[in-house]
Amino acid sequence: MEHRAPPDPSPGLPLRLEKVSKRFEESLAVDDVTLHLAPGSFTALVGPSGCGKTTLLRIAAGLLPPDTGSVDPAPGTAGVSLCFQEPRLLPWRTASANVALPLELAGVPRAERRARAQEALARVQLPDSGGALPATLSGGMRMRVALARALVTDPRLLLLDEPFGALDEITRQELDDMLRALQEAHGFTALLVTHSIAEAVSLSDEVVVLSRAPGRVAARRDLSHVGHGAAARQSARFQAEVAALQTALDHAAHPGVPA
Amino acid sequence: MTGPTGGRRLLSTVGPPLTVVVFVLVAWQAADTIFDPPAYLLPGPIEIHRAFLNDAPRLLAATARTGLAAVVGLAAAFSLGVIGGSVLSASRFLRRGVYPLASLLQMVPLVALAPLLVIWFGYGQRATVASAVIVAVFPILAATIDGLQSTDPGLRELFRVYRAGPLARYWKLGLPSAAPAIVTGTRVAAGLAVIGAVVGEFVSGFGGEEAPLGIVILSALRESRTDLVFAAVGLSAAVGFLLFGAVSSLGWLALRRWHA
Amino acid sequence: MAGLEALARVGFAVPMRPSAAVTVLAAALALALAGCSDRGRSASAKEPASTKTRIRFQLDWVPQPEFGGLYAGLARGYFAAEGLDVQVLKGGASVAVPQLVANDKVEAGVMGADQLLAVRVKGGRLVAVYATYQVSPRALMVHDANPARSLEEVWRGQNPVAVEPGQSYVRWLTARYGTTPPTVPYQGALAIFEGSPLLAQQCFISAEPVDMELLGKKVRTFPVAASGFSPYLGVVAVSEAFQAEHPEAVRALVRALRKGWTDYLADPGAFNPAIAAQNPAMSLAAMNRAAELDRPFIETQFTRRAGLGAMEESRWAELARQLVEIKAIARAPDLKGVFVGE
Repeated sequence: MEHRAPPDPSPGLPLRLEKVSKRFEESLAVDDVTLHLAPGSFTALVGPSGCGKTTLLRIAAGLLPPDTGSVDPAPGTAGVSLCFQEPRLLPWRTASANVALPLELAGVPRAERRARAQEALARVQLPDSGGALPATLSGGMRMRVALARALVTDPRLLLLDEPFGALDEITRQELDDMLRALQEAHGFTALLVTHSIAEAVSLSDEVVVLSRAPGRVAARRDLSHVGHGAAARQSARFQAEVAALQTALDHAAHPGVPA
Repeated sequence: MTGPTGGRRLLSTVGPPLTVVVFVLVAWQAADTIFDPPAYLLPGPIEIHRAFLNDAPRLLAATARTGLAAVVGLAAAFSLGVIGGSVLSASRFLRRGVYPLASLLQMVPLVALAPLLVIWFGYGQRATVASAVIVAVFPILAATIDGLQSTDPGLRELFRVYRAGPLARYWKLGLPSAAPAIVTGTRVAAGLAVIGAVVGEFVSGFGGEEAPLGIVILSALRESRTDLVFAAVGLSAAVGFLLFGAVSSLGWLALRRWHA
Repeated sequence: MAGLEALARVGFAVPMRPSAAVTVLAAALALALAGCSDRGRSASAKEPASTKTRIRFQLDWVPQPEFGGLYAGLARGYFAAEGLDVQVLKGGASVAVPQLVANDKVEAGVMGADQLLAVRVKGGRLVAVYATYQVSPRALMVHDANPARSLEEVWRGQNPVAVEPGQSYVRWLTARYGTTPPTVPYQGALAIFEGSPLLAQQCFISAEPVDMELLGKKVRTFPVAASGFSPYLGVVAVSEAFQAEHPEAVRALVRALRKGWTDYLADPGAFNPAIAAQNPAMSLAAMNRAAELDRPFIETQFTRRAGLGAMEESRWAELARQLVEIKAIARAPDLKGVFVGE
């Protein structure tokens, strides 16, 4: 779209969580987590279920205040976008109107938000579904609409809370590859919470393993050498990383058992 | 909806109740003919129909007058209920304070309240409309509050993420979320509005040639013209049915996106 | 129906007339459902001769001087002496007395002669046995400020008149004066009338005007009877079935009522406290005054000759003719046996 400035050449926003802890009533959910994400990096957060991954992501998104520690960017900073586990689409709005919602709430004029919503839908490969109501779309398509909505504001930091967890394996891989391509094209920083090691390996540059609750950083693995996409998933390196991460995860879940 | 499927759908909606109605009428007439109860007790459908035909122009005019009062009352109740419910659900204090009082509206016997309406609004349509509003407003108010309160928490969080203001939350999330509940509440209120109008007419309606259904019913009761009572009651039920149907159709149109 | 008007002082605490509509309808349905199976029963169920005949006596309103003779008779034991076990059932807005009597749900009930004929035309077999009011005390009442100076001026005027919808006198006045004023439903209370200087309202001469007088407000009354319409009111009726089966009990009932009324008219003040005790809404002063005002409507030249409560065939025939003429009833009722005389 010629009327809009091209994407910022180095648009990624760094994310810095310093010594973050969060307690829910009697149980400690997140314990002294420090996490630095470089601008433009893609990081996956894995861990046993109930380890506080989602809590950490919500703290990063500014939806939950940490009890102690600091979060940068501060809550409310422009350019941070969030994609939930569920599509969370307004059932009475078309896909296009759903995608345009963040712009609408930010006061963007109608014509511009229409154009940007259409563009965002095209990015998630739904160029022709703008007029469809959510109920008429498949689960995968709905999630793509939700992703388009998260992208329509041109975020510099995208936080993803297991967005494709409910989808079948094939759709999920398709969306994973699309997400990675989008991230590479637009250069935003991404933090993905997932319980799938394969997804973590196939998407991210780095995987952070959280320990069993209360969540602490148990291990970190640099994956920049693995590569992405369907071909990479077939490689021995990919399989090796998945195995290694599985071991790390088992260890995080059962600290008594030697790795 | 295409022609033939629309026709079939209409038939499948209207067919069963129509069959039941016809069956009941036939059985009623048969029982009336066989047992022949005195006319002051229970007239048969044919007798009631005759009473209707004898007085058709006056009865239809009465029906139109009562129907108009019910429609105006329902419209006012809709505005009051939706606005009131929205205000109440915006404030926990108001909700806790006012809602129980508002719910009293439906517990107070309208018949006891109706004479006061004459004192407040005078005789005629205004008191009748007020009576309709009193019974019709609560279901709409309650539905609005329930609908607004039961907005999907996930969507509420979404709006929080986008830092939507209270007005945007209300117009773009709360009200659309509550719409199906409001339509259901209004459907319930449609029938009540007719009852409210008729009861209002019992105390405020003008007599004579321009008498509304409520007065026709009172007169016919007093004159032991049970057939005319049934005809008038049947007409008020028909008004309620039409109003219910109209609200249902409007609701369907307004909500077609919800059940697409 | 005097009760309705006399209810004035009660304000809104009492059951309102309008609820009658709903309840009467429900009652009519219930009666209808019960009717078929019940009709034969009272005719066949013989009561043991040794016991007193039970008479459930349904009033059409709350206890007041309108029923003075009944209460006097009870106080003096006249019914018991006649072998009758009279149980008084208080009435109210929601009690459809003619229907209850016609369908043998009660043995006797109080109603207007016009109501009785309307039910009779519709197949209700009612028999009048005692007519309390020989002359209708029905009137229209206006405030002093109202310009109307006659019944005709009220009825031909533009000011609203509160009437009971369906009352036959409404049809009568409309037919007689060829027009109708704006009519509004009578509320069974004085509150609205009090606050509306130009509103006229139906009344019994012995009831509302007394209340207004006691409130210190000036009203004028225009009796409807003066226009030529004067049905018997406060008529005690039984069903034809009961009359056929218990003719002696019916005669006994009439005798006891007549004795009661004779005693009551001689000294209403002696019985009113007992009635007032059952109707806290009406003051004793109002009851005493009402009883005095009622007297000329109850005791007439005719009753001095024929006895209190007695009826004349010509009066019934005249009423029937008038009701047909004003289309209050669709056709002339069968007047054979409409009342029992001496």
